[in-house]
Amino acid sequence: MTAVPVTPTAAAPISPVRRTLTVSRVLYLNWPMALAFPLGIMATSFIINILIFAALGDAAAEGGTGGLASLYIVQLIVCWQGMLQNFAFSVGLNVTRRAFYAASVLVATIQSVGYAVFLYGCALVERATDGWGVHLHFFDPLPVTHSFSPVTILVYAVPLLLISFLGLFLGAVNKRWGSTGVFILAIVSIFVLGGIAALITFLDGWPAVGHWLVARSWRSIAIGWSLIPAALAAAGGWWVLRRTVP
Amino acid sequence: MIVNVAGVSRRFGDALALDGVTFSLRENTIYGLLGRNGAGKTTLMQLLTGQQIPTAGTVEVLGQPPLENDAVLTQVCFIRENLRYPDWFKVKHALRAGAALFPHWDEAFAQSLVDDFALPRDRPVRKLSRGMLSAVGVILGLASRAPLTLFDEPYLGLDAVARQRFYDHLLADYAEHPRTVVLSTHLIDEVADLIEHVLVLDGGRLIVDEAADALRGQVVTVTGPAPAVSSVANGRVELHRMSLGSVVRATVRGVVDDRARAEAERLGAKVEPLSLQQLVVSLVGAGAADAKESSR
Repeated sequence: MTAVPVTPTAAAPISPVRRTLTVSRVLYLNWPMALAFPLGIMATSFIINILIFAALGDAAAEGGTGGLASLYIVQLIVCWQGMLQNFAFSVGLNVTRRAFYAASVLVATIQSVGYAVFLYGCALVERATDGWGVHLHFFDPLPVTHSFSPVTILVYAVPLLLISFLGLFLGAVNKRWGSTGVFILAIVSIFVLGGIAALITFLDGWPAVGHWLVARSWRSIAIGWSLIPAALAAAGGWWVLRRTVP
Repeated sequence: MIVNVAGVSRRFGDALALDGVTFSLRENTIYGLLGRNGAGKTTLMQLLTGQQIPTAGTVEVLGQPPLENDAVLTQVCFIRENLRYPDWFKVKHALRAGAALFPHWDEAFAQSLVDDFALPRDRPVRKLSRGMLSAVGVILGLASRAPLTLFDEPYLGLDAVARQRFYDHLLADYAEHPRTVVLSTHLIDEVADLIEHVLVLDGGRLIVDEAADALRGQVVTVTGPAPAVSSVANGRVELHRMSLGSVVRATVRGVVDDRARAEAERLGAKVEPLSLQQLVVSLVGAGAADAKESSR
């Protein structure tokens, strides 16, 4: 048999978009597992809520619950852990950090939008069935989600995006500096946020903050203003990851 | 040349992991990267793959710096002993990842290797034994057919039979699809027949960069009466000497031609070549002695 050398003489350019899509496929190889946890935990929370509301019967006030938060919390953990484990594997196998991070952001965005559409669908059903027959507002717990236009999808999606990017950022810090890094980050964050709160109190600024919030609709805060910290978290994640070694 | 490394150093705090390393790797050659633990082998491979950034010097792979370079890094496969797989990966997912990430991937070859190493495709990677985990890495590295394939002791977990199987597969596949392979290992004698070119790192410095055949002839042991041994040692580098009564045994670096050999034998000494492993041990030992000497 003739030998077929595989060595090219020079590296041929690779489309960054194609590479990002390839890497996202690797991140999502075991997609049933990736979806099972967030949806499974939310479903569990939902069933428990249904049972409680059914048990309360007419005594239950028409109301929302915080059960939906489970999805957001699980998404934070999924992104955090995903960053830790996928980075070691993918970049360990010579995926560039850039392609890896772009793929992570892409997957997190698709997940956030996908979940948002799903939640919106569930909220429509919830509304049509008078809260699943037990007056439960599980998927539609806040005043902000009550308006039923497709724009509501963004009310679910953007905060999910913020949570996802925060998870990626924390995962990156965790990967680069270990758990010590995460603890130091927590201390610094408490210090900075606490400092800002103290400063506002010192300046008697809370009424002004209240006015600012009231002047904006819930919707603009959930969609528009959430994008700012989301973008900061995404940029922060990249800044940390750029020099991280798998 | 597929790799050009010039004056590369890498410092971690106070420790100098690599110290002014310069070498090139040719296309289609099997290299042995040898040296003790902590000699800088893994750091060097991380620099070749852009996972680490050199403190000084330049690294070029396929004519370009590898750092964050998709065009270069898709042509390189680096399998290290402690490659981490995501918890939710099964063996088949690791193979699919390899198929997606490496453009020269050979799926049929990968599947035949999975059968040969008797790997359970549906078992989660985190539940594999150490030997099976090593086998996954070895399969990724072989089936990637990457023009530059770096193995950083991923075969450590394999038993002797599985290691031999790996060497056999590597050699057979290399014959059909020549590429540049770098094997970093402690099990020097096992890979001695595979290696065409030897690189030895010692304390972050490259102390040997030579063709394996040329190197084999370069270091010999001379055993016999002291005058006979000295006839060979004089004018060459004596790496090590011990004596037992009147018999002296010296390890000597430098080409011993037929005339010198005949002269030594006439005086009653025996000249023998060293195995690659003994050779590396003697050179690394000598390097350490030199370092001690110069730091005094």
